[in-house]
Amino acid sequence: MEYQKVCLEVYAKFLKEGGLRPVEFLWTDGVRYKIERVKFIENAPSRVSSILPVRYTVVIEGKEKYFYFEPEEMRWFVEVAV
Amino acid sequence: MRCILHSDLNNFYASCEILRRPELADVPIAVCGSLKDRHGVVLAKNMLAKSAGVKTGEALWQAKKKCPGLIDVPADFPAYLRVSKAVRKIYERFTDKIEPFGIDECWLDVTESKYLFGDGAQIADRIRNTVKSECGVTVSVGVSWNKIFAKLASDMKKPDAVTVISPENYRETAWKLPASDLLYVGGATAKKLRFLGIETIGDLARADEGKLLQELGKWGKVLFEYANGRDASPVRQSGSEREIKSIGNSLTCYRDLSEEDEIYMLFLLLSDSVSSRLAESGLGRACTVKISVTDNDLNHFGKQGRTKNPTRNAKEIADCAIALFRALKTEGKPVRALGVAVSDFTTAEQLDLFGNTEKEQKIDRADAAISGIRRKYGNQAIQRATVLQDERLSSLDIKGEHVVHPEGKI
Repeated sequence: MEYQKVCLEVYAKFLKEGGLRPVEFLWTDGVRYKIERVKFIENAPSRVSSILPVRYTVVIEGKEKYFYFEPEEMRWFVEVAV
Repeated sequence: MRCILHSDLNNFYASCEILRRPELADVPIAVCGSLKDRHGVVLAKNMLAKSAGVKTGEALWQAKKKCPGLIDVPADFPAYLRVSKAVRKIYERFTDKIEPFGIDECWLDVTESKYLFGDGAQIADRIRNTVKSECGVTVSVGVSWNKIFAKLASDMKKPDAVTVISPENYRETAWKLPASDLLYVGGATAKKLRFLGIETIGDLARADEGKLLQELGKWGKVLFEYANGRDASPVRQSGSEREIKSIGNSLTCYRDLSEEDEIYMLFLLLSDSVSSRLAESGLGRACTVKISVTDNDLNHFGKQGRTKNPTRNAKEIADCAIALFRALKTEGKPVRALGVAVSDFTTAEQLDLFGNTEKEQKIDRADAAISGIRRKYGNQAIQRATVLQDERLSSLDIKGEHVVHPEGKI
């Protein structure tokens, strides 16, 4: 399966004790989605172009999805199957 | 017995490029010089390019002749360094004894870690898995009881593999390999060894020690010991080659200074030494200047500030120092000792919004000329006119004395 890198506008919060959590994001159609839960935060490579991203396993509308944060670029992206 | 790992990142530069461009995973690629000189030489290649005969160091056009489908990508060292650091962070979970060997290889002493993480092969496997799952690149890990065999082992199976050379199996594994695989055996040494009828590491290990000594000198004995797995060199503790964070000099003056221009003179003297040590260190330019002041009542004061632009010029450092001194709230007493230190180093070339780089280049050239004269004729050979006001001060060699201990103090 081929994947495409899709960068997104993400609303995130910085925690008092340190750390970054995505809260909401704008999908490509302009619809705003809530991130219900962050299940895991790991260093893990993606299937698209990125060097050392941080992988957030999040739950959106009950479904799991990987959100990646690239610290070097200060940018969020998701992988989309094409 | 020690337990030493040697971890080698497979096709490191090419693997990093594949993280950035996953579509290159199945094509032969060569990492070449930076964007500016794309026509440079091959710095690294992946397995596919390697099997087509592409060699590190050859010109790109030569490589493309051998391997027509070769894709060249410009090297991005900052990215490789980031990945290398991330991998080293993983090593640090298992031991603090880490000795880097280039950007993509490290020795790890995990002798004391076995109570926490299992034996050498288990630790090696965990490292291999963790690096792959967290960073997306692969390592080959060699496990042995000394650095030489560990390095040898990491080269035996690639990529993404663990190889153990143990006291039980080294005769069947290490000894079968050509002598030129041994660390420090280069082309010339291998040729001499062949002349002695030594082809494999086993041959070397069983050779006549006296003859090796005779033919290769002291080095022959060292290689003989290596081939027999006798290498006691330690894995250097990580952080033992500490990063230089600041460069500074201080001086207690032979007399108390009360006039500002005298103080400036001493700042200049100190800055001269700091500036030339900074230039020699290769750390680039400094963004922060820090001063320390001791008055004749032995009260200490300190202040630091940013320079207008990153600098390594003595006068600019001194100007910054005197500005800090003016801003410092001392009690106005005469000054007994002064210190100047610079930190926050940057190697980035300074960009001027209005393009006034000419003046800076001129200053750089002048500084280089001054250090040239000082290197050749001594630190006292050329001096600032400002400093000549005080004969005793101007005869001081701060830099020379900072590095060289005074001879015989009797």
